Amino acid sequence: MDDEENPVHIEAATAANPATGEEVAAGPIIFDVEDLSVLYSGFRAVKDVGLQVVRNEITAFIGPSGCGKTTVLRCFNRMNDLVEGAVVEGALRFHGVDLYDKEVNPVEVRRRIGMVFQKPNPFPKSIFENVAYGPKLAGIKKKAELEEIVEKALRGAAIWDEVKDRLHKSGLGLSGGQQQRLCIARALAVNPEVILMDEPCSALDPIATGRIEDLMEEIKQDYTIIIVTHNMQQAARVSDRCAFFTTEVSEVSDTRTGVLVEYDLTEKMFSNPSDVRTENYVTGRFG
Amino acid sequence: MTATTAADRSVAERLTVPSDVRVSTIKGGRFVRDRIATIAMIAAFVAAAIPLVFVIGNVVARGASVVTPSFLTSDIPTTASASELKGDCELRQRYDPTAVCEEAAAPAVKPGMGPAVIGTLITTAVAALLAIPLGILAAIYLHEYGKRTRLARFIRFMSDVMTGVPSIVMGIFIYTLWVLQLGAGRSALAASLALACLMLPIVVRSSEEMLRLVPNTLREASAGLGARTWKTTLRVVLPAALPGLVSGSMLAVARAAGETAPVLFTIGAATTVARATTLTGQSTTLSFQIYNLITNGGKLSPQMAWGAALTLIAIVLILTTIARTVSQRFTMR
Repeated sequence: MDDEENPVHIEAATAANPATGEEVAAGPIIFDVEDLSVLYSGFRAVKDVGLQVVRNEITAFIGPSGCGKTTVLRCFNRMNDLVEGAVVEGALRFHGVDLYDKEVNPVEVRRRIGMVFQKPNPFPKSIFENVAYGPKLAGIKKKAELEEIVEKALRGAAIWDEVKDRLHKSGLGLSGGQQQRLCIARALAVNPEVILMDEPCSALDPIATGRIEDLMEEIKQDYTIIIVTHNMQQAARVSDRCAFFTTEVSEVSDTRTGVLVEYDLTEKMFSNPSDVRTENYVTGRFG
Repeated sequence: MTATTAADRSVAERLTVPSDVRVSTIKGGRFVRDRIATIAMIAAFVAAAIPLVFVIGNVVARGASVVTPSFLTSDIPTTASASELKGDCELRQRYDPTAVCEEAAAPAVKPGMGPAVIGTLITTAVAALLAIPLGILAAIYLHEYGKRTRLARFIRFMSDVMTGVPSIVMGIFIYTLWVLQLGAGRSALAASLALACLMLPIVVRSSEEMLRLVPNTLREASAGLGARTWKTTLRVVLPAALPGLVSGSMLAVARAAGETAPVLFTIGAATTVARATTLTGQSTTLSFQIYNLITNGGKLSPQMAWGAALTLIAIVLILTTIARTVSQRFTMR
């Protein structure tokens, strides 16, 4: 988390909003996305996405189903590499380095950029082993060190008190909300700079959702968070900046492609959006 | 447009039921069909269970009195009587030209199947050691790396073909290649190789199915934490698939333990425990002995064959139980 470790880090006091051209006050830019397109087996799922993610902020991706929010999110840690036939075009720079550069190993990307998935997916291992999995991959073997990391991560994910007496029981014995916080703890344990969240609350009840949202608010001091959500209230509650995606139907081939409509401060997106499609969506007239 | 036709009305009437749920509106035909289906299913289950119960019951009834500790450890009788001995020996020579027919040896006191028990355990274990790791590695290649590439599809197709190859073909293959061409001669190892050929495609196909059952979300979670594919496979996929992998492998082991055809030309013969306790020398198996005893009927033979059959079933059952117990201990649910 030390700035000096990242020599290619871009210092940007202000950032131009790609959709409006307006200048908005911002911290350092961590991700710079330019003309990003994703193709699945030749079919263009998302096209021409451009946005900048600011460090220690929560950036939300909203939009109707099938508009490519998740597809774009999965570009940020090269998760689309695991999908057969997926091709990513354009540039996605992390501290100025294109993640899709030939020299970049996707495994290194994922060590720095963690992910929490839509459905809680703890490993069929003990709670302790779930959290210790990442640190062990990184080569930490001493039991005392692992115990310290696991406790810190579980505390960070606000689940320590609930599981401290059952660390060696299966992670699958927890409730859905607890499982999701366990998955967040698992992601925190490798100390990433960024955490990507793909609809982390869609399988949870409102109380569990509230806990996760509080948690996001707490950990954003240390991490940059990008969250995909279907829930506009959630985006409005937690995010600093918001990107609205929608689908465009091609007139020639009748295929649907996701596009970024607008990207701005969340406050502005919900009170005074510049695109009529955003306004229709956030006011509930569409989608 | 608002006028409803007679057909419409009758549909609406048919869908209207009294609010009192105690009133049955289900037509009698449905009860009859339900009863017929239930009886048919029970009958099918009973029909399927009859041969199984009959076989196991028969083997236990006829074999139980034969199987004693000494039966499991004693040598195979070579001198039941002079004439039987001669017949035995001549038959054995058909399979093992090197066998020497000794004249007037002292009659064996307690005839048993010791060599066959040892031989079965050795050949099956060696075949399992050869086929299971190779088969599981092949399945890992197919499902975690190869996926739908040409090579993976070719291997998948060939293992499907191999699964359907009659077991005697595996025996002939090893006999011509290993025993004759390479001049290695008949041995427990040759029999193990033939059994391993038989097991390999079963292990590959069943293991790939088990890997398929591991949810992709677990692989993504592991990759998301910076794990390479081999780490993900080793630490997440294999542990999650372990019980299934064990079941599939045990199915192959059970199949190999009971096979006679691949062993027939490859194992040679042995009648003493001392001779059968070998990998490179000639040996014998329970299945081979059952075949031998039935086709070469001496007075003791049928009874001993039942004993050997019961021993074989017991060995497979014990191995399966051990494997299940061990894999359950390592599985976190």
